[in-house]
Order: sequence, then C-alpha cells, then structure tokens
Amino acid sequence: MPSFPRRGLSAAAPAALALSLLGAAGAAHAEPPMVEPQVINGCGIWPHARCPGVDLRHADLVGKNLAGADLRGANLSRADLRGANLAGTNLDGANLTGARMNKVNAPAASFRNASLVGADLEFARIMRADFTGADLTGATLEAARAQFAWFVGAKLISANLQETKFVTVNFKDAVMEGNLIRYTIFPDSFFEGCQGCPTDW
Amino acid sequence: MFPTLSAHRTPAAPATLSAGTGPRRLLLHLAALLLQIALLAGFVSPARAEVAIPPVVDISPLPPLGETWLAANPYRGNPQAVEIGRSAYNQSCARCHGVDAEHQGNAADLRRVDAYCRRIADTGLRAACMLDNDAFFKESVLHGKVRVGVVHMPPWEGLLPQEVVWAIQTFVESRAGSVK
Repeated sequence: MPSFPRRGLSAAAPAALALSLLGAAGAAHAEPPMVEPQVINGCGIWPHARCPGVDLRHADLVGKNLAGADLRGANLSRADLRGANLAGTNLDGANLTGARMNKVNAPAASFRNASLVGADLEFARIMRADFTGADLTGATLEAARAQFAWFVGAKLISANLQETKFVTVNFKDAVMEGNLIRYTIFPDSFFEGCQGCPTDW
Repeated sequence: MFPTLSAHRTPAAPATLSAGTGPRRLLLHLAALLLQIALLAGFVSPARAEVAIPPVVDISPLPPLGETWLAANPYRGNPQAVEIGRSAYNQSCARCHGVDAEHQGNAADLRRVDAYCRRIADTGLRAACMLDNDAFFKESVLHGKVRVGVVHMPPWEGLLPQEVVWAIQTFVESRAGSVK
C-alpha cells in the first residue's frame, strides 16, 4: 500500500480550494472569448445567417452555430454538420444528401421538401422539426429524438430507424418501406394515409 | 388535419356516470361532459393561441422611418428609443419574454439574440452579422413563430410600425449586460 504525504496534502488543500473558488468567481463574470467566424461562399457561419441557396457542399461545419439561419434551398451535400446547432433553422428545399448530422441539435428546424438521402442523423435532436415532403431514403435516424416532429408525405425508405423515438409524430401520407425498426417506438403517433407505417411495433 | 393534443389526449368520456351518488355529483359529471364536448367541438380552446395586441406608445420623439422597411436598425445608441422600446416591450412582449427582458419561462431570452455577433472581433464581419441579426429580429416579429402547426408567437405584421419594432430591439439590446 503506498503511503500518501498526508501533512502536505492537508496543508495544500485549503489553499487550492480558495484558488479554485476565486477562479470560479472570476470565470462567472468573464466576458466570453472573441470569435473569428468562417465565411464560406459569402455565407457567414453564425446564428441567424441569411444564406438561401448557398453552396456549402463538403463544408466542415462541425459544432457550428447556425441556429435560426435561413438556409432555404442551400446545397449542403456531404457537409459535415456533426454536433452543429440548427435550432429553428430553415432548411426548406435544401440538399442534405449524404450530410453527416450525427448529434445535430435541430429542434423546431424546418426541412420541408429537403433531400436527406443517405444523411446520417444518428442521435440527432429533431423534436418539433418539420420534415414535410422530405426524402429520407437511406438515411440514418438511429436513436434520434423526434418528439412532435412532422413527416407528412415524407419518404422513409431503406432508412435505419433503430431506437428512433417517434413520440407524437405526424406521419400523415408518409411512405415507409424496408426500414430497420428494431426498438423503434411510435407512441401517440398519427398514421392516416401512411403507406407502410408499422401497425405492430 | 393532425389531431391536436387536446383531442388526442382527452380521456374518452370521463363522465360515464359510474358514480351515481346523488344529484350534485351527477351535475358535476354533466358539466364535465359538456366541457369535453365544447373542447372537442372547438368552442373553447384549451391552449389559447397567443394574440398580438399592439402597445400604446408615443413614437413622435423618434425619427420617422416611413413605410419601407430598413435593412438595419437605425436607432442603436438612441436613449429615447431605449425608453420607448421598454414601454412597448413591457406592454406587448413581457408576458412571454419576461418583464424588462429578464428571461423567464419558455420564450427565448431576447438579451442573447445578438450575443454571437457581439463576440466577433472583426468589425466588418460583426456588422455583417448584425445585419443578418436585424433581419432575423424583424422577420421574427412580423411573421411570428409557427412550428409544426403550433403558434408559439403570433405574427405582428400590420400591427407595429417599424419605429416600434426597432425601438423594441434597441431596448432589448440595451439589456444584454443583465444576463447572469
């Protein structure tokens, strides 16, 4: 059993504690660090950015904050949006083919008529998001949280929906076919007019 | 039409008259049943949609801006705009966003709306960010926030002249320092 220098530790501990408390108090009032945002093809990568139709193919947007941005019709094919903040972002008609969107934060975001073919939304937060008319063929929504989301008329074909939480989700007129629905849940969801929606989940 | 939560979650026929113990109980059950019917028929909305009620403020001390919307807030640094904005804000916005923009409840903390722009060191980029932010603020006020069929904030288009909208934004930005 190793012996610890008890006396030294006990003397140093109060000083260390006092220092850390001072540090914490200082941090609470410190100004947040200044930032140097990226600008890609004329689009400032910041919250509320106005970039409809912008070309962001292959862009590295990992962890970027694009909350509330206007990205209608933007081309985000194969963009890397892992962990990005897309809260309330408008992506209507956007091309997100093959985009990496693992752990993306996109509550109340709008993906109406967007292409999400082969997009990876593993562990995404997509509660209250609107996928009306979106194409999610071959997409992954593994363990995504989709409470109150809308998939009206959306295409969910050959998708990985393992452990996806479809709670109170609107699947009106959606098309589902050949999806992986192992441990997927659909409580309180609405399936009127849906082709291929599960009845025995 | 996607069924509303109220219709979906309302337990079916709670007044099944199973108790049957006295006329008062029966009356209560009957009242509950009538309320259920009223709710399902849409006569009474259980979760009322927010209604836009414009504030009463005197904007004559502010430079008039006309009908055409400006791209940027022209009132930054104008102390009168802060005061007029405070009055308008507290009349029309405070119920959800908190008195004097002190954040409370579920609505967005408006003191943080331009927080990212303020942290940009480069002055040119910061101005571009603020321009986007002004447009976002204006659009949010004019068109409200409707998400998957739920009106979280009503549209204010036609109810607020741009002087009031920019004054409210000037006031909200003046409160940025009160964020804890």
